[in-house]
Amino acid sequence: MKIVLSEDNEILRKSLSFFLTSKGFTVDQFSDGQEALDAIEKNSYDLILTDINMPGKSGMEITQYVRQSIKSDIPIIIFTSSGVEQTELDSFDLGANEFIAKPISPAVLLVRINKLLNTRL
Amino acid sequence: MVEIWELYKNSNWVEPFLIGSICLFVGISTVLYLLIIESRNRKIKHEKLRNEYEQIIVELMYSVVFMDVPFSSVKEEQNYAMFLKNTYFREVLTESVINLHKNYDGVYAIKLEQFYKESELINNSFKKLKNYKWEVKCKGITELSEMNITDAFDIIINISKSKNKTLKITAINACIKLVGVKGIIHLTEHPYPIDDWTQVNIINAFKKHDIGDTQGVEDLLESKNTTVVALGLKLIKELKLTQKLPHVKQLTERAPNTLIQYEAQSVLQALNVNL
Amino acid sequence: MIFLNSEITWFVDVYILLILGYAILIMSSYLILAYLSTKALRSYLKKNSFIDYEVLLTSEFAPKLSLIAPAYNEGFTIEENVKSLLSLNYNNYQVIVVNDGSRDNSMEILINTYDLFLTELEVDLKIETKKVRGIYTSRNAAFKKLIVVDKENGGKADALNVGLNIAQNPYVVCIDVDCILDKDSLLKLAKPFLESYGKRIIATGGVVRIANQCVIRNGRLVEINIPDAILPRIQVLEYLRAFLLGRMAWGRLDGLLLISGAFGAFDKEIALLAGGYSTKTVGEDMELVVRMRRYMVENKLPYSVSYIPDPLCWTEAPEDFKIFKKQRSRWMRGTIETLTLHKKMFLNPKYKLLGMLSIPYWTFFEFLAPAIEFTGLIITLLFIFFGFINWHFFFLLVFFVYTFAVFFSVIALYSEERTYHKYPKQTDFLKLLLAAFIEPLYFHPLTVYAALVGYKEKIMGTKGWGEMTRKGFTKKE
Repeated sequence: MKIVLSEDNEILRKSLSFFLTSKGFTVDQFSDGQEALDAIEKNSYDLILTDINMPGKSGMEITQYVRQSIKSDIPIIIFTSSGVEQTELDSFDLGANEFIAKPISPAVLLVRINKLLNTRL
Repeated sequence: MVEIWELYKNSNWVEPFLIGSICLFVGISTVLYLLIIESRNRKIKHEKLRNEYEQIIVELMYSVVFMDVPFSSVKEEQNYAMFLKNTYFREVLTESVINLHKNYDGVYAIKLEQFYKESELINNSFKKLKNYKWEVKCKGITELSEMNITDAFDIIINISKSKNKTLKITAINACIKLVGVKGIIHLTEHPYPIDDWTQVNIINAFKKHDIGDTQGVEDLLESKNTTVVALGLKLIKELKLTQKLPHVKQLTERAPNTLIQYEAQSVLQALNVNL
Repeated sequence: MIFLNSEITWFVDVYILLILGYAILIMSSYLILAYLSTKALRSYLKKNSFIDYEVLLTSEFAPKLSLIAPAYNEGFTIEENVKSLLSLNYNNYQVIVVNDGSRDNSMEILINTYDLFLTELEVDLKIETKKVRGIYTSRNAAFKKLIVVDKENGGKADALNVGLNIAQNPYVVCIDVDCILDKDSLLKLAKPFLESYGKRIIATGGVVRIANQCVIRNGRLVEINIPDAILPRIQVLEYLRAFLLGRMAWGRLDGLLLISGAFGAFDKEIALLAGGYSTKTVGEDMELVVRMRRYMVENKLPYSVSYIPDPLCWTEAPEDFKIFKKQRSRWMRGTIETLTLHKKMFLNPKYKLLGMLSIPYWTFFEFLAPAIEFTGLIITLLFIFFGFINWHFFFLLVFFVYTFAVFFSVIALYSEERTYHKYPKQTDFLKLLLAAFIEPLYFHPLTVYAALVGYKEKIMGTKGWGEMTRKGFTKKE
């Protein structure tokens, strides 16, 4: 299972990547939203994990692009941190499947990922 | 004075002065140039080291947080023991632990706190509190408060009485995070005015850390310091503490000045509308 | 030194001592300002790392802002510029774009892009302005922050005054519509208004940096570069010196006379009470700040002007000499006009630091400096021609000034290195260093020439801005 992880917090990204890899996923990590988007266009992934605020393209822009331009229904999980409710509602409107508010629990994240992937299969 | 003017008029000093100045300018420029080069190289070196360390630290964090490896066995491992002695490594490690603690919650956060204590990184933070430089104290305070070290509360609350605004805000925010409302009750006796920016930060700390128990906010309204009263009113308004309304009503009856009275009344209006 | 006879000797001696005295005075003041600036800057940066600006995003006590962006013939880039203004990181602000009678299709572009329609908004004419043809808002809820005003051409000051009349919030932020703003710039600009107790903050200003050859995407700065072309490159250096080593010191002393017209925030009430922008001068940004300060002093109201050293605004510097000359001669005319309008403050103790230090400093070291330099050069060359001074001494003097100029630029580069470090590439640093060596020989004479043109224009009564054709930011993809 291939996952795209787009998060500009270095330590967090590397830690989550390590964690997910140890659970059997292949993780491609990016610290820039635009780079992540380029990779999504070129390769096929099973899941997208993205932070909402990213340099380059934001999580919302990535979601919008994937749903509207690529027209893909890849499951997307967005991490939110600002506690601003409006952004969370907006992300659902754009087509994200789930959002997880920071601070996150990696175990819960794993459960959500598996649920989304299982429903697809 | 007259002597200096006489000397100035006798223009023999001009040429040596010009030559001397030119040498001085060229000399200092060269030194600064070299310092710039050195500073850039140092930054590049640190970046490289940091990347190396981050890789190691991520592995370390994985074993501690996700694999439940106790610190005692980590300490035994040769690699880590050597790194842990390096100051820069410990600095990057502390930053990483704090960073992860901000982003992970639940049992993972607890494990990070445990690691923080066992690895004695906590001692470094306490040492920072004693440093005479305020920015180092600030760093220590933010570290200890993020990791929920309530033992540090007494020291931090002392520091919060400082006149240095940034230090004060950092310390008060830390107190609020650690013990909630008790962290600001002492402000009732605060002698200096608290500006709006400080107040906004305090209110934000309450919101961010979801302080549920607001027992004691009404004491702020009793303060002789009008800015503290204003802070109390703002807290009640923004956190929608309708149970405090009777105290606000009392305040309107004995307001120390018209501004306070006006603000108290607007709080009553705002919250009554919401009921 | 070879002299002809004793009277001429004495005269030449005095002359040399005078110009040397002036040079030493300028140099020492630059160094003192540089020292104060660096100290204040380091202190600011230390504080900054512990400040959470985002608290203003969710606080209902955050100052409410009205952005005013006058636009004239910006059709080429106006859509993108307005979009970036609408997506700044701040809650509770409005964007007022004032179309100052553009002769291009700016209005059409705006109406189409933002789905605008004419409204019946009542304008309270607190300040007299040229006629307002229409006020537009958007049907689209996503653009509810936007107000577009169409008016007869009246110049930048007039357009800003229309904005002041219409603005609904207590603080206005006046910007050039084509400036690239940092995402958090409103947060940083707004904070000082909350910070003082007892003193009213009437204005806050930030640092303007040069965006030539930088990569801009979607109205945001993505990559910072130093321009290859020599004219803009030297301007980068010049702006670094001015903002890092000069303005910060004046800000600390609270003697700042100038808040850049490209980006500054003002207390609307005071701006209106002081009379709004003056349409009689081309230096309207500087003149308003001086007048607002004067208003507070004359009414005995405690106040302060705040300065934020963070690079918040990036703008395009002239690359063409003709346009550069127009800009600099305009700056000189603006300086002359402001200093003349407020000559009452000159060395007047009633105005405290402003009257006793800031205004005299600007008069002698900014206004008169090019004239003194030019006449000094002519006289010195005459003296050499008549044999009163020999070449050896002349070159020594020139070398003295040259090495100081390079020295001061190196100080600026060192200061930038230890503070913001916005130019991390090795080649960038070398480019700036080279610029430092070339500047006194090439750029400085150009600025003196442009300043002299400014004097001439002022004497001959030239008004207005002249055409400032925009190149548009080069988008390097």
